Amino acid sequence: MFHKIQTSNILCVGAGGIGCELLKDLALSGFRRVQVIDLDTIDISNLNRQLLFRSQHVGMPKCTVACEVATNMVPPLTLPSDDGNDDDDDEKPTNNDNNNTSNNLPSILYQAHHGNVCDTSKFNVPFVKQFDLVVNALDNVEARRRVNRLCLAADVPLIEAGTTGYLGQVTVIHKSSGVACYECTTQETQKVYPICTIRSTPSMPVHTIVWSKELYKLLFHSKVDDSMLFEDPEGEEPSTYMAAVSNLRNSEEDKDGLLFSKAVRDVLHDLCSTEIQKQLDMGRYKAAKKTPTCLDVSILEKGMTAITPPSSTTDIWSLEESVTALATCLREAQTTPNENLLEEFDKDDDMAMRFVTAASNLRSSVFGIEPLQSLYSAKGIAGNIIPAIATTNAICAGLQILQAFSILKRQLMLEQDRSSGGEKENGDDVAGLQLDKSCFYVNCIRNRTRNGLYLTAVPLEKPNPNCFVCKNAVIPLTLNVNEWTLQELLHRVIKGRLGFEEPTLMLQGDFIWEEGDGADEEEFKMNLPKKLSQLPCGGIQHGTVLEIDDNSQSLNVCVTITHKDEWDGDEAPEDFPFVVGALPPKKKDDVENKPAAGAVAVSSTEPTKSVNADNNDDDDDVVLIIDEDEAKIDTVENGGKKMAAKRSIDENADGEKPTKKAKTKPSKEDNNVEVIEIED
Amino acid sequence: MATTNTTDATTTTTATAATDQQQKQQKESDVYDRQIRLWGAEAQKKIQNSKVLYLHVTGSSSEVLKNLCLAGIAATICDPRPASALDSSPCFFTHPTNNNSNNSDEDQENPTKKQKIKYDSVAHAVRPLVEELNPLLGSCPILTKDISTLTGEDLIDFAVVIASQIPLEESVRISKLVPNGCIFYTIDCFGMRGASIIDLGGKEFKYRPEQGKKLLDPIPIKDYVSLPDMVEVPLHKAINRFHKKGPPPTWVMYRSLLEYQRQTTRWLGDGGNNDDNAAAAAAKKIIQEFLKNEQVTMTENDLNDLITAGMAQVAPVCAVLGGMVGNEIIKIISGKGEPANNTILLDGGACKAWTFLVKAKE
Repeated sequence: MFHKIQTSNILCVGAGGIGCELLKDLALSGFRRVQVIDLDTIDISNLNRQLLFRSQHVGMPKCTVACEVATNMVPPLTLPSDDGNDDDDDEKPTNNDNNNTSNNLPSILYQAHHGNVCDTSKFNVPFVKQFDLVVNALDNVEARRRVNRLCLAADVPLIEAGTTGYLGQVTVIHKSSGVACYECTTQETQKVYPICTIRSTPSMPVHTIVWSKELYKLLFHSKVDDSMLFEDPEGEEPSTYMAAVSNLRNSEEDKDGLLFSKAVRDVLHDLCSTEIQKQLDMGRYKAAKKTPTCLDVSILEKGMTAITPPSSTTDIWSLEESVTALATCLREAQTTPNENLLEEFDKDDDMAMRFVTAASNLRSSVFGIEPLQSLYSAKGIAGNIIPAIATTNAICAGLQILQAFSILKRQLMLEQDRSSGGEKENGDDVAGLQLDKSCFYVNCIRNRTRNGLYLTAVPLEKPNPNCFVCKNAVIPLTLNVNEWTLQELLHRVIKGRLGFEEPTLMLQGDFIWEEGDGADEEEFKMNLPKKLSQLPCGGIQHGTVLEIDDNSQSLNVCVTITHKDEWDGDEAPEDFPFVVGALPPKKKDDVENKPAAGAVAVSSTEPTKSVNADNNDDDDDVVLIIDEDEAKIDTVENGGKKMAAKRSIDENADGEKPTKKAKTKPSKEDNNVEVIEIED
Repeated sequence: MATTNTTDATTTTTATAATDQQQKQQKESDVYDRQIRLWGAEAQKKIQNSKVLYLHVTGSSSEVLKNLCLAGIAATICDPRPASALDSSPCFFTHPTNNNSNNSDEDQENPTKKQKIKYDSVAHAVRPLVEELNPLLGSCPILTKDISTLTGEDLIDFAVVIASQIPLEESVRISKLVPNGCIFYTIDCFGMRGASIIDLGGKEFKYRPEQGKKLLDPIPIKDYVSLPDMVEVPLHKAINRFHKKGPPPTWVMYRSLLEYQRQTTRWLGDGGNNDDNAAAAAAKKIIQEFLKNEQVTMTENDLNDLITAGMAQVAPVCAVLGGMVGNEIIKIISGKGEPANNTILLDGGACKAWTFLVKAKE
């Protein structure tokens, strides 16, 4: 067995919190052939848990440093001789033992790939096939889906793990063992908020923070119409604030700064007062629980005349202080050369963070939203920061390696069987690895179950028969074929929702779209702006079967189209409504939140929640609040649904069969779960 | 864009000290950011004000050490064993990292590192690496004493004392010496399993239960059994309604290994003679005798596995148990959440772990 460990080829995807722990465990266990993929560089906030990194490493690629440090942890081969010190500290870390040849062992090689696992040119099915198994240490749904599909296609066992704060889980995915894949259950890709909630009816701090990030864009982005708050000055309905906004955007430096101050004041007044009054007059909030109140002018004036902006990051700024803070930010921005000014919000930019904190608190107070946020807590929400600690990562990585041992043991048994009895080979191949018998779905929880469990292990789930990824299930898709163009279908559904990378589309055996290696995109470009029903080969109509083929993922599935003209507001996105899976039930059923069996299965192939319209009644369009550099985090999955699942385990009296079903069960409450836990 | 405030030209030395302090605090809040967002600033303050004493650094206790140091809990080490004791354990402090980073100008100690340094003890060998792990904690003190000569005086100041691979009678002795409010923990891994014994100090030990995100008022623990009493509980009586027929096998195995050490004064498997048939048979006899006295049974498979593995430590098993114990100690220090009482048992093969209350069932 130890020889198997020493000679096996392992791929570790991710060198962050879990990745560091994995590499340490792999090295200490004696693994010699490990490759690591990671695209990130080391940040100071990693140092509290990513044990392979030190402060002098900040800014360097994680995978390179991690490989270097882990290489030195591989125990030297001990010889029977008693001199002990057989590891010459060679210059090259890849060579720190010189006995390898005699034992027929591969030299120690921890190889770093600084790049994105979603890069299809480098990391494809043949690449994955060279490994005995893959361990995931990722923090985002997109990459997890990618590795899931690659491993299924290559039929290489994948050990998946995820942690949020004190909670974690580990599972094993393997195509020919007949166990569920990553996409068999609902994955929340990104937390989305309806545009109208952000623009007119915010009810939670996160809504006003999203609004402030959009305001930042409105004021600083080179393309003003990139902001969701942009209103066309030429539009039918006159905007209450765009005039002041463009005045501020175009303001020149003036001697005493009076003109500039006035421009700032006007923007704030129009946004926090004039616009609110307009909406009130339109009767927008007649049926609402809370009615907004315009910002008191005296607060605005006082804030504008104050000179010292608030400095505390942990105290909540008063409204006057918030006005002063905003005015200070805008003054700083005006004197900052354009090339140094960020066009979009970044949580690690001090000015942007002060701006968003102040603006969101002003807006929260207008809408009576509590609690107001300190800069520290606003940063948590705005940057979508998931708390992370070394302990949980250590536990989950350890569990992953324990499962790796089980897998290698099975592989070794199969190898030995094959080499010993040739005639039995057929039978063995049928038997395969059968990881469903030796691996587990493990949950790590904070509070013990009633019978004392902290780590619960249950058998791996069976695949979801309606999973289009591992079961090639037909995907039902409902949309209006007369309104959608091929471009929109490709972008929003096929690539966005379904996660294809280089799809080829076929209607009745004929190509209508092709891309990727060797594809002639030019030939099909003309199809992009066409309405679906107008496409060649008869177009996409009610009842059409569309075939999607993606070589980069070895995935081929069929989509059956249902045409639908009329949409109710709460069924699907407002502008281009569509539903993947069965149509949501007309009326939401609060007593039994779980959709009918069929609907669960279909929605399970669904990467986002909008199909569960019964789960959220006011989703009308998508707004991503996720900060670019933290966007890799699967927010709601971690922060919401799985957390809810964990809770149900905690409460599970006997701890037997800690129900994974809780994960797929939509509940009203899930939507209100904050994306992060802020200090309590 | 916004430049940091530059200090006035007329800065006095006290002001500089204040800025240094501020800078350190800023660094601390940057490094600890992700965990402060989990347990809050107040808990972090308690954590940074707490010290843990490690009696022996082994594969399993090094995991706890790593987790707690990274979190900001300063370590003191007591491990007078020869540095070679580290060779047989999967401890990442064992193999010094080649400091061949590109910016090696500041690495004055680099040349010395290249040569094999002979350390006086495990504690001395581990210290530089502990200090490197979290420089915010400063230097890592060493208690240069033999475990058997430790007195109550030595244990003052510590929130938790964690012992690994120390004889049971030493655990019993030290658990009685620890001052009020100090927690005594053991942690040991053996083969695919691991176990911890916990003495929370007394029945007046209080914690704040968590209810969802809400933190309730402090309450005392329900059952308290001191470590000396715990190990006096005959194994056949260490049962509860979830373990009706007998105690969890991992507890029986841990006790067996401790008993083997008591009788032979060496750890099972030490010296690498696991394959020696005679030694294995002798060990088997000792353990079987112990099981008989304690009126419990062990399957032949489990017994053979136990004897083959002995006290051999497996890296991922150490990582899992070390992570769990780390979580528990953070619970205890922060006062948040119900802590495990009075053992933690891990079965790595089954990927299961639980807390089990050892208490005589009448």
